[in-house]
Amino acid sequence: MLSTLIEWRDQLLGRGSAAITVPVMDGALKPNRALDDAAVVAELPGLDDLASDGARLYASADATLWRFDGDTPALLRRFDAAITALALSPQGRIAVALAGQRVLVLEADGTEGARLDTLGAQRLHAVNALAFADEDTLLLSDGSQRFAAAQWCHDLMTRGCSGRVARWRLGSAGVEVLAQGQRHAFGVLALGGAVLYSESWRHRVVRSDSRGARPLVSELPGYPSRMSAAADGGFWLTCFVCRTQLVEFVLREDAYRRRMVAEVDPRYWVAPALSSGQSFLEPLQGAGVKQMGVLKPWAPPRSYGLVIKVGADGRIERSLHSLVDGRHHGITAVTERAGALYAASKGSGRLLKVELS
Amino acid sequence: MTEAVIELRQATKKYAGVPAIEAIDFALERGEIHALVGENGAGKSTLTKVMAGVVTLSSGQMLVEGEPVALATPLEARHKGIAMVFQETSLVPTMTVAQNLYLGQEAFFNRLRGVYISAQQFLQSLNFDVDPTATVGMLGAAKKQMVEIARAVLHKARVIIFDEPTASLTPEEKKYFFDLVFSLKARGVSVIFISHALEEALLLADRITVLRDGRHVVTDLKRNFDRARIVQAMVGRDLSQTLYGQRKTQVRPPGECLLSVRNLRMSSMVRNNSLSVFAGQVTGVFGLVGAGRTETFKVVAGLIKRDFFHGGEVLLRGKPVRYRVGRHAVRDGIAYITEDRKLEGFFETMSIAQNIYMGLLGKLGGAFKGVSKTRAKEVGSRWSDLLKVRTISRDVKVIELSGGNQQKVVIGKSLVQEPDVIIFDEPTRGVDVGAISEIHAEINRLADAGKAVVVISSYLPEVMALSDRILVAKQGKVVVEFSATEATQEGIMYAAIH
Repeated sequence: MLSTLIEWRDQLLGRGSAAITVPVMDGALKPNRALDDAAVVAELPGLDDLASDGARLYASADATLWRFDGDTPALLRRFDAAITALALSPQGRIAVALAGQRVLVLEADGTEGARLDTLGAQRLHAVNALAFADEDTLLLSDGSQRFAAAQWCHDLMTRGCSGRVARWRLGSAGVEVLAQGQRHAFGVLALGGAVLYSESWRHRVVRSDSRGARPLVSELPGYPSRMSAAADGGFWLTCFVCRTQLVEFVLREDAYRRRMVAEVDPRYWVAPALSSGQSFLEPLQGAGVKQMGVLKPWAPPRSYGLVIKVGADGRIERSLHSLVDGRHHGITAVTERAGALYAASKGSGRLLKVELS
Repeated sequence: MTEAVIELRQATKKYAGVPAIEAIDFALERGEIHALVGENGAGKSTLTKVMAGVVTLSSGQMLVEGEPVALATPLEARHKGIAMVFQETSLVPTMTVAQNLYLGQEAFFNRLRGVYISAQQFLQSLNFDVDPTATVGMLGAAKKQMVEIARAVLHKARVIIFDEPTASLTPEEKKYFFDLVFSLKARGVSVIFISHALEEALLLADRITVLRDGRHVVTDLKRNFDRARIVQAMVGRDLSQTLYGQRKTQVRPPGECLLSVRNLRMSSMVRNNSLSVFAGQVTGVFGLVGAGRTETFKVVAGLIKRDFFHGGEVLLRGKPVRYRVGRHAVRDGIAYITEDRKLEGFFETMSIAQNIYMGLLGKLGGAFKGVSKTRAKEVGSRWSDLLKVRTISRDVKVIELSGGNQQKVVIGKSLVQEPDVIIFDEPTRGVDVGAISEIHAEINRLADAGKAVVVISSYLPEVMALSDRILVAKQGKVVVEFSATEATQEGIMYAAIH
C-alpha cells in the first residue's frame, strides 16, 4: 500500500523511479573524439562482432566471417544466416551464433564441431554474444526470447525481460543457465574466475561467481553490450547506444510507447539507434541543439559511439567516444590486439583501430 | 569625429584602497550602441555605476556633453539625461504600467484616465506593445524592461545603460529587446550595455570596449572584432604575472564518485544541470554571472530547493538525497562554504571559538547534550592554529578580523564538521594576498586527504591553479569539462560565453 502511494507520488512529482534522469558523462567518461579520430581499418557493411586472441583477429559482418592478416581483411567463410555473435578460443576454435538461434563451433582446422540449438527446454532465440571461458567452455547471452537479435529496439521499447546467460560445456548437451529474466542480456566475458554479463536495459554489468551475482558496474550512461578482456587488467565494455532523457521518458509512458510500437515505422520511433542522420524524419535530431550554426557536443544523441575501460574493481578508468556529430556510432564489439584496440562500429560499418600507447 | 555624450578620463574607483576600476578612459558617442564586455570583476558594473551616479569616482574626471560633472546620486544623473536599467527592475509591481511611468510626476489633481491615455500615446510613439493598464507584476521580463526603458525615455534620457539586459529573457523577448535598442538608437539615444553573451555584443554594438581586472584593454569598432579577439582581450593576462603563476602539471587521479547531480532544475537559474564530483580531487567550477553554479551547489547542500516537479536528482555515494534543510546535508558530510561570508558565513558578534564551535553543533544536531565553553575554546583553538587565523586574542569578535581571517573562520566552521564533500564558493573573494595562499594550501591538503573538493570561482587563474578538473557552466548547466593539464584561459572563457 505504502509503496503504491510512494509510486504515485513519484509519478506525480517526477521523483524516485520517475525522475527521468540519465547519468552524466564526465570524469573518466568525459566526451572526446577518440573513436572519430580512429584509423579506419576496413569498411564491412553489416559489421557486428569481433574476436581476437591477441594475435589473430576475426570479424563478422552479416553472414560472412573475416580474418585479418595485419589490417587486411580476407573472407574466411560465408554462412547461410547472419552471424549474431562470434568468439575465439585460446587454441583457435571459432564459435559463431547464426541468426541468434544456433551456436556452431568451428575447429581450428575449419571443420564443424559442436552445435547448440536449445537452452534447457527452450530454443535459442537471440544469441548476441559468445565468449570462451576456457578451451571447452563457452559462455553465451541470449538477449530475448521474444525478438530476434537485430530487433533489440523492439525489446527495449516493449520493456523485454526474457534475456538469458548460459555456460555450455562443448560437446555435452548440458547447458547451465547462469541468469534468466534479464532485461536484455547482451555481452558475456570470463574474467578472473568470474562470469561478467551485461544487462542492457538495466544499464549495468553483473559479476557472477561462486558467491552469487551482483552488479559490478551500474548506472551507466549507455546501454552496455559486448565486452573483451584488457591486457592491463579489467575489461573493455561497449555501449552500443546511449541513454537520453527523452527515451527514458518514453519508456515510462506506457500508452504512448505501445501506440508508437504498434503504429509507427520502427525507423522513426523515439528510440535510440545505431546510426542517425540519414533521414529528416528521424526524431531526436541534433539540429535542435544547434547554436550559431554549431552542433553542440552535448546534444541529445539518437546514436552515439562509446567504449569504456573498466578496471577489475568495477571503476571506470577511461572512455572513447564518437560524439553526436561524429561518424563512428553504434559500437558493438571491441578487442585488443598488438597494443591497439579494434572497435566494430555497426552504425557506420567500419572497423576502427585506436593505438593504446 | 562624433561628439562624445559621456567621457571618462583616467577614471579610478577604489573600495577600501582596492581599485575596482583604474585609470580608465572611455567615451560614449551620440547615438551609438556601445557594448562593455569582460570577465566577472573586470569593472564593467562599477564603470557604468559611475556614469549613472550610483558611485562616485575616487579620482579622474567625468564629462557630460563636454562639461565636467561630479554625479553624486542617480537623480543627478537622470537630470543630466543618463538612466540605468538594472537586471532587477525598479518598477513597483503592484502598480500599473502607466502609474509606473509617471511615478513621481503626478499632477496635483491626478486623473487615472488621463494618465492611461498619455501613457498609451507615449508607448505607441515608441512602438512598444505594452498595455498601460496592465499591472507590472503580471508582465514578462521583456515587457518590464520595455516599461523601464520607456520611463527612461520619458525622463528624456539621452543615455541609457543596460546591465545584463538579456540575462532573464526568452529568445523571443530578446528579439523584442534588440528591436528596442535599435529604435532607441534611431531616436538619437546612446546605449551602453553590459553583456556576457558575445554574440549579442557582435550583433548589436557599434563599438565594443573590453575591460580586464579593472583596466581598459581595448575599444574598437565592431567590424574589427571577432569572437576570438574579444576572448583574447578578456583573458589575455600573463598567468606568471599573477599570484597563481604555478600552473598544474599533474592531476590527482579520481577516487570514488561521491556526488552526482543529474538533470537538476531550479527555476530559470539551473537548467538540467548534471555533474559529478570525485573523491581526492579538486573540481573547479567556472562560469560567468548567471551560470547557476552557486544555485546548483546550494541545492546540493540543502540551502535552497530544486523545482518541486521534475527537479532532477542529487546522488550522494550513489544514493538519491533531497535535503529539506542544510543541517541534513551537514550530517551526511556535505559542507558548503558560502561566497557571502558576512551575510551567511559567521556570527559577527561571536568569538572565533564560538563560531567554529557553532559549526560542530550544527553537525551534531539533536545529539548534543549541552554547550561546553571549555570544549568550544578547545575546538576553536585547534582550528585557529590549523588554519593560521591571526588575531591579537582568541576572544576577539569575528567582525573585527581582516577579510582573510574571517574567511578562515568560515572555513574552520565547516571543516570542524569533518565533511567528505567540501564546496568552496568564491573562497578568496575579498581576501588578502597572504591569506589566499594559505586558503589554497588548505584546499589542496583536503584533496590530498581524499576529500571531494569543489571550488566555485569566477577568477580564471584561481580555478586553473587549484583544479584537477574544470567544469565550465553556462546559463544554468555545465557545458564543458577540461582536465587541468589541457585547459587554457581562452578555451575556458570561450566555453563560458559561446
